[in-house]
Amino acid sequence: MSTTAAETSGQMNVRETLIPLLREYTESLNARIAEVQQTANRMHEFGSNEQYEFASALLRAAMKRCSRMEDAVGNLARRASQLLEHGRFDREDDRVELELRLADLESTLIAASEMTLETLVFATNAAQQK
Amino acid sequence: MVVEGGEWDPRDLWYSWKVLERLRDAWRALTQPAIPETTEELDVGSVSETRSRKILIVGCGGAGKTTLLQLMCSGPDFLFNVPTDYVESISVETIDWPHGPGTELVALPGQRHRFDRDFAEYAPRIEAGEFRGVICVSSFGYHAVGQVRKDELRDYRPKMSRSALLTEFTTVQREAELRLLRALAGSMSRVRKPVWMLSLVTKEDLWFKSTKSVREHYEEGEHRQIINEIAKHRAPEEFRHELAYVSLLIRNLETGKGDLLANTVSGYDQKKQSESIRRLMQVIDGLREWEEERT
Repeated sequence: MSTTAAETSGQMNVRETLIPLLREYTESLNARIAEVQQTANRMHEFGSNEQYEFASALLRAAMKRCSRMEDAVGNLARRASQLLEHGRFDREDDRVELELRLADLESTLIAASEMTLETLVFATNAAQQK
Repeated sequence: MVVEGGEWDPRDLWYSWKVLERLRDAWRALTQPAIPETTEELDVGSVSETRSRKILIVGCGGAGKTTLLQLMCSGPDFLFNVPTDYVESISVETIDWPHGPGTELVALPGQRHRFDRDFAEYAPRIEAGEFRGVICVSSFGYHAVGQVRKDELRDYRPKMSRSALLTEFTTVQREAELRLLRALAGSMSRVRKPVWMLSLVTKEDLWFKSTKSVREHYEEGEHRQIINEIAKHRAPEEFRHELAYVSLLIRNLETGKGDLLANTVSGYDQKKQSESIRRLMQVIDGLREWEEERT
């Protein structure tokens, strides 16, 4: 991350630092959500108890990978939100893009947290049917 | 906790404890469901029916909504679990009363980019009467700032004094409070059921020296005009408004990066804070009585 003139004068370089971070972690969190969903969807394919135990372990690992990101990504969202709420923008386009990227990240975060709950219910139900 | 002269006075702690206990009890009386004695009591308009409706909490980000909920629900335990840093709420918070069945409390995030989106969803629900009460939290513009440096603030200019920055910051934030109140007022004017509204002005410990200006702002200025507009659209027995000033927490106003924006007012001690909480308790009691009287 290079130090720009804007940063040395106290302005956050939204375009070069924060927006790429938001984009990167939205994609990353989305990938982990997809991983959990795919693993959960394959649960019914496992016939024997041993196979099911293995699938459950895979699901738990995928969920853990997803939930471990949530706090840190939540803090990133808060940082972006506070800049939107109180920060100074030299370019209106930066403010607009930050708002859009933040909305994208927050909806992914909410989806991740809802999905974790739903997957737990799904896995519990599947285990009870076994 | 430290009284004038810097001495520890255990009576202050005892007093705080008792006041917080009574606040929790008053809040519990307002939010817990009334048990119906007859099936007729479940009819629309009864205390039981009223208590089944929710309470909405709105206010700008950093005005003190989450702290208020923590304090109301935990009572004296709050003294041992005082919130540390400001943690912004990202989504709508739905809080269940922790001591058994009770009214559902819904807090909307107050940042402009979130409030506009969430309020669009909640406005029709307010108008339909889903909420029996609305707490509108403001703080004369002294809003907590999260992970932002002082020099990143919108109003910051190099070599600017702290007081000049604070003046500009709180002025802009007061306008944000009014903007939010105007949005709320549109819906409050159209609620189809009796509803109360509590304008709660927090952070007395930060603005105590400007009490006259604060009172003028909330009791005579645009804030009052907006409340009067709501009242104009409602029958007097259908709308009750209360205003309370309180300090939920004695704390300097700092950015999340540790830059000081405002010190607490010299001489504002725990006793004064407890007095403000006692007044809030009386207001909550008054709202409960109003609900019971009109059913």
